[in-house]
Amino acid sequence: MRVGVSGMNATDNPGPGVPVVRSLREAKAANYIVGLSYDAHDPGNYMDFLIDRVYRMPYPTKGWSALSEALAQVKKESNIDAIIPCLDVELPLYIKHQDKLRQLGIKTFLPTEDQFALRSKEKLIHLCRDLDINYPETTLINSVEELEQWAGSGNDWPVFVKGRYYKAYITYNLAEAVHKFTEIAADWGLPILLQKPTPGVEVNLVGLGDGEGGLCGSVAIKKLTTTALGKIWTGVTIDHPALNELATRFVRHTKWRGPFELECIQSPETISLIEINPRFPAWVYFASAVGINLPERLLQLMQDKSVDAESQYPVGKYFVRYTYEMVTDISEFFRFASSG
Amino acid sequence: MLQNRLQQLATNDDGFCFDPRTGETYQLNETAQVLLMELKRGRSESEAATLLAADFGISIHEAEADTQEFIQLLKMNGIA
Repeated sequence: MRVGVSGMNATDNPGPGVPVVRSLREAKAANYIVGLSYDAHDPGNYMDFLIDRVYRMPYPTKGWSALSEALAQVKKESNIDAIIPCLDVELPLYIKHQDKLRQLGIKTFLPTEDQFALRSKEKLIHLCRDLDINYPETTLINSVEELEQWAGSGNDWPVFVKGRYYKAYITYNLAEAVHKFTEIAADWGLPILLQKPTPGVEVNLVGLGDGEGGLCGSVAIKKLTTTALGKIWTGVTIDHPALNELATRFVRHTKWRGPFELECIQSPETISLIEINPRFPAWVYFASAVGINLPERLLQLMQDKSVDAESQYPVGKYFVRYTYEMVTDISEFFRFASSG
Repeated sequence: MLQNRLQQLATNDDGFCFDPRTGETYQLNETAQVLLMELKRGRSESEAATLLAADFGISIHEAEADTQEFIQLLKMNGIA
């Protein structure tokens, strides 16, 4: 299979693309892999030991017409059979136009627009009620005035200021919260969420839904250390029956189609769901390395092949990221920079 | 005491302890190692305290206080 994968930004705020490619390579699930990159600086662009060819893509903000034109070119030149989009911000376009991609001869395996909307940060509280799972106290705001009203209504600090797609900062007073509100709103738009911190430890699960209510495998981890941006640096596989059960309930209830990540907080008494990401997380290679290769299973679903739904993996496996350097010629950078 | 939660804890001879349910890791001192081993064997708190007193040559009162403190730590960490 010839596959396109986005999310080549294997940076300090890593995208899932390179770990997805690595998973596919190790499973020999794809014989030609194309990277779909938005930035000439993306490290994945230069990983010719993993990726056969990289295309610079128009930013999702340029809309479907620009994206479909670029994808038609990728199809023509590299004859890809499938795409695994890995970034939150591009998913609405891919989801909305998955039928058109199919007509181009490009398979995807994505949630419907309705499924995608169900887990949005604005609507997650309703889904949590349906799933009978706790959700932290959260307020949606659309202006600094609403933030000031929230602060003046006797609410306690600290509070997380969260964007609808990316970024979450803990803030300890109104001035900090206004600063972060402005920063996130400028980058990712409104609304902004104010979310009370939930005491406990964060546990995460990556899974894959078959679109019919079945779970095609999952792996649960705890992040042991994170970077300043909250990204996993070290982690460990865990056996968390309540989290596994939540994943099963989530895919059964939503008939989720495609990859997802559950972010939860476990306290001694209860578990709370704080976020559902509609894609593979950047730590997905961890799952592949312990025997649950979800990118490989995703390609099997796309091809209507039978999928191994096994989720038995060794508990206590340790994950550690590291930094690495590559050196190439500046002409390689110019090639990417000028092709956008 | 949730015996099955205790049984899940993985330990080694150096006192390293891993909770596979939560991913938490702990470093146990010698007292805690003995207490955890005995509780995992199904001993009651008072039996574990008696064994601790014998092992370390301390009074039963001191051993009972250590045992209670250890149980509290287990509870605080959602294990007991």
